[in-house]
Amino acid sequence: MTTFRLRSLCAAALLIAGVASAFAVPPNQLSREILSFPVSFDGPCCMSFNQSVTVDEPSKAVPVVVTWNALYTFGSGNISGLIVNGGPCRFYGSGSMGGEIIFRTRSFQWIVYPADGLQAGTNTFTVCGGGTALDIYARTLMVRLSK
Amino acid sequence: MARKMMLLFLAIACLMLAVETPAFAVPPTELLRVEQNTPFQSMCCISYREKVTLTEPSVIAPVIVTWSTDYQATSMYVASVSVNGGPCLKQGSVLLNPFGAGNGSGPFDSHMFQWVIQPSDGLVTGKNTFLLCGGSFTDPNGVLMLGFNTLSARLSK
Repeated sequence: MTTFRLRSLCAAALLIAGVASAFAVPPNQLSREILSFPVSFDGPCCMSFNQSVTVDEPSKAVPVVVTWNALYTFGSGNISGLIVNGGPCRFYGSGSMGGEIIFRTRSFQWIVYPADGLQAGTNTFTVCGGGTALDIYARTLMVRLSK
Repeated sequence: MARKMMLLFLAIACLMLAVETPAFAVPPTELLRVEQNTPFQSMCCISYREKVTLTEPSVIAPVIVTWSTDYQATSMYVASVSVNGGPCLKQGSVLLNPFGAGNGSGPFDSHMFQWVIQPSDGLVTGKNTFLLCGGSFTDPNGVLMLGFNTLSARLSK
């Protein structure tokens, strides 16, 4: 009986551990780049900034929250947005990168609804934008399902 | 007896799953996206007319409210949150520096705020409302033009 109880406890613990890992943020939903030399973009909006994350939507798509943080110079007049599943570069919230040319950091929270083109299964989010010259030295990108 | 024990442990596991799930869920009422310019001209504190709601469990947990916005401002402006109709609290970073024309023309700047709302700030079990608020810090004639922005609230655990 004691052995059975221990086995049952182990089974319950494994189940709970599985649940916990299911809620951990999968690696494909995160991107971090810390660069020795900046990645440069020069031109009007809109071009891909070549940083993407993906998230797996359930059969009934739910909204997602995408957060982008960047350290850059020459951000004057630039705007940033998102390409969702290969579509056009759109703005799902704030996108202005300011008017100064010195180092600055900015964070953006973008909310993408199912009507914006989300689909069941894998969805890809790529940062895009442009305006003038832009040198990015570090950036993080994260996507999470709303539920 | 053995079957009862197995069922008991499965029930415990399911209960833990049920408790854990809401902590990670973010219902749509907790998200807001605004895609228009809206002007304000007032000393602090007035409503910026944007709100999100969130349901607290019986054991109240802190809430993280995040606001990411484009803006122009002709004077220094305050931005914060009113919890359940209470005062415009100062739970963290609150200032928007002057930038741009204030009338929607020309470039905008952007800022992202993250506020941590503690249970002692007025959170209650059940539905909680978080209303964006603020106003000019010093100049009654200062104008704030909010651009595209998003507002979200989520439980801390």
